[in-house]
Amino acid sequence: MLFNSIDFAIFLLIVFFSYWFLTNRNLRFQNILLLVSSYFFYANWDWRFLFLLIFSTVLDYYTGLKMSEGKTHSMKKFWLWLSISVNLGFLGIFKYYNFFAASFAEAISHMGLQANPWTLKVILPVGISFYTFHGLSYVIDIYKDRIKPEKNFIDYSVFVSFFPLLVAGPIERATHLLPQIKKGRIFDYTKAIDGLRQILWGLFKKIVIADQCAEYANLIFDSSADHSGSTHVLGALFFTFQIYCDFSGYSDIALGTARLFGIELLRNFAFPYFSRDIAEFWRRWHISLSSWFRDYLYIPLGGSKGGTWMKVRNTFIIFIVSGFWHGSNWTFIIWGLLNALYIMPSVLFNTNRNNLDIVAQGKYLPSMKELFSIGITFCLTVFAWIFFRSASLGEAISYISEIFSRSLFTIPDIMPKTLFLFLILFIVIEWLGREQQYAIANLGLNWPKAVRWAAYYAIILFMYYFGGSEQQFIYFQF
Amino acid sequence: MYRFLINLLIFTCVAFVLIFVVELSCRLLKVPKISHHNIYSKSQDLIPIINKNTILILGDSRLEWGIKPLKMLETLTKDSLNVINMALPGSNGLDILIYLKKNNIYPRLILMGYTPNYGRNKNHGLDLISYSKPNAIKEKIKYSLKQTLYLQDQSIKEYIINGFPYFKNHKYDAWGGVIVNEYGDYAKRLKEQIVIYNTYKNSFDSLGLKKYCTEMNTMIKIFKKNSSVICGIYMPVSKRIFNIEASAAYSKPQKINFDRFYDFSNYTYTVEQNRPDSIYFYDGSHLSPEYSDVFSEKLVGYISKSYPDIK
Repeated sequence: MLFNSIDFAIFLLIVFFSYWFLTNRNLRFQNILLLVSSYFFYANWDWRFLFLLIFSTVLDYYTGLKMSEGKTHSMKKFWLWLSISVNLGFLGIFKYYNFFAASFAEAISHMGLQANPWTLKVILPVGISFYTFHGLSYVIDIYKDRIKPEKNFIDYSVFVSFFPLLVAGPIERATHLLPQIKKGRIFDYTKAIDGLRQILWGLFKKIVIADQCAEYANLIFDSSADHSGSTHVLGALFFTFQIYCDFSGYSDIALGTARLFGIELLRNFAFPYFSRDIAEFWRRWHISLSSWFRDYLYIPLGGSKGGTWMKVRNTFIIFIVSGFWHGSNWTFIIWGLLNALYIMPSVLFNTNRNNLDIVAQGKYLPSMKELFSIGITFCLTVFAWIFFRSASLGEAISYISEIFSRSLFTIPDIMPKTLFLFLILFIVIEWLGREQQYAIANLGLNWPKAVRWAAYYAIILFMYYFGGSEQQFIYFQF
Repeated sequence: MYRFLINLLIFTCVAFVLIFVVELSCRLLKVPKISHHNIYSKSQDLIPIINKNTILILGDSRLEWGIKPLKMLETLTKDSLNVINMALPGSNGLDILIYLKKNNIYPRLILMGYTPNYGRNKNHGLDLISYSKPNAIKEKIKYSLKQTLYLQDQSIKEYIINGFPYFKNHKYDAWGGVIVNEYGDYAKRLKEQIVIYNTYKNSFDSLGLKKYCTEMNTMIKIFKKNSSVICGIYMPVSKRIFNIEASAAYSKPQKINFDRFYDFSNYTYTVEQNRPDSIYFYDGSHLSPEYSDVFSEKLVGYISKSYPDIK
């Protein structure tokens, strides 16, 4: 059930009305309804993996309780490691086993030996990387005494499986979401309207920008040998906007949907392409994952406390792990590695917290210096996305080498004018709304209702008319 | 809450009124509506009924338009056999073979289309879909909305840019055969096809064809093992199109191990009376509705000659 499908619209309508009208504002009933709906939503992808989700939920719930009951530190540690090993074990089997088996076979073939690795013919359970990280953060927080274990199984299960975030995040924290699940929720008109607006903007990003960009990006990447260097640059640009609008569009829909139920989820994107350096980019891109790695990997590894060498080592580790989290392919690892290299100057010269504010705050236009920094950061990001998009390292390298050929200075053989217009419009709206939670959060709030509604209808019309062919959300595969 | 619901209701009602106004205006202005190929609803209806007694037709639109399962059924004397035309526009049929293999369904005979362009033909991902009654209803609704509503497709845009869309209407029969009507006369339609096939020729995808042949051979092996017969078929084409395809890098499927290959590519001007192409063809590449009936009957004759148990 894709967020941009009629099925989801019907599902959402039914759950929304049942939630506010049938449960009589009884928190327990509301949570049970959310859990049943979430499981239904998940089973719609593949009902067999529902058992895996339930197992993972029970495991973390139980280990959480056991950890708090544990009288000795070693008992607590035992339960913690049990949960970590089982969770990562599942993730490893479903997501990484084939990659390691194939890489091992390839490595030993270089030594003149031959191996026929036993590979698994399994499909990746949707959302496994996300709900595994939910569970892990919960048990680690209990172990570190940051939170008390949740005793109510239904409430805990809703925390893990709440349908807007179940398949592609944002990766929530128990400290943020659980208190909201346990607190009575009453309908808030402003929040609900804001939620709908965010859903609308998310759908626009996904259907009009991401899906259209996907068509051209796929065309260029899939037959890159037929295209010139300049077209390759365009292909990389299209993918850059595709992945942003696809994932941030998904996140907007998730956040907006949750708001309809009176729940606030963590913000996942904050206009990353207007970043002035890579450190800022990573504070604005997939925020829930970046902060997860910061809190549960970077800081436990020592963070920036152990001197320059430790900082460098830890930075490389989190970026490589982050790349690997995206999938079992060397392209993701190189993408992570590239980002680690990009961020290195800021780490070495302690400038990684230079740009904590919003670019050109309170102004219409950035300064020349800001524009230059944004341009450089954007170009670096586009370059790294080439690895992320390519099917293999070889493909990425040949794609890049074509960019740096003479054909870079020719006219691209693909020029989708309508898409260019939409991209310009999109960048302008994002720029104007960069101080808000999402681009159109405040857009037209002071306009007369008729004009504001006309703008919403225009967005819907654009989705109808200029939507690219329906594509699955990229991050569902992770 | 009630304020929210009332606003939502008004917003939705205004949207419906706007849709109604646009739809009505298009009808009053007689904006020509694009007719669409029915791929997914047809698949939902027909793929679940394929069984070991099926004569299955796979491939691209040449087979979809040119082979009439109803005519074949009339000609066949064996009641237990059914004929399903699951050929689809731009398809290479591999996805359906993969689906059948996955579900252990091995039809009696598979007629698989072939041209040198099958290396570039994409499949429609039919192996990745689940087939059920609710999905069939959903696809049916989707298709009828697409066929009826101007806001569901690019008809208005097409009207503003080109005046008339390409496809006028599609009439499907219960077994997957179709009669398609396009705007323009034979000469105009042939011209369009020549442009298309010249483009294909100029960007001939030999690697794609090689990959396709390899994949087909793997599938053929499996289907043969499970007592299905797979025959290749090159549908008749007009002289102009034949000349373009014959000059492509290679036109014969030397590398596909079909049980039998029916090469009808120059059939109309060698075996049939050499009458003007417009008698046999709708656009030079696809058979005309009238001749496709004749051809379907003749095809049964050829098949039963090769396989006497299929009569």
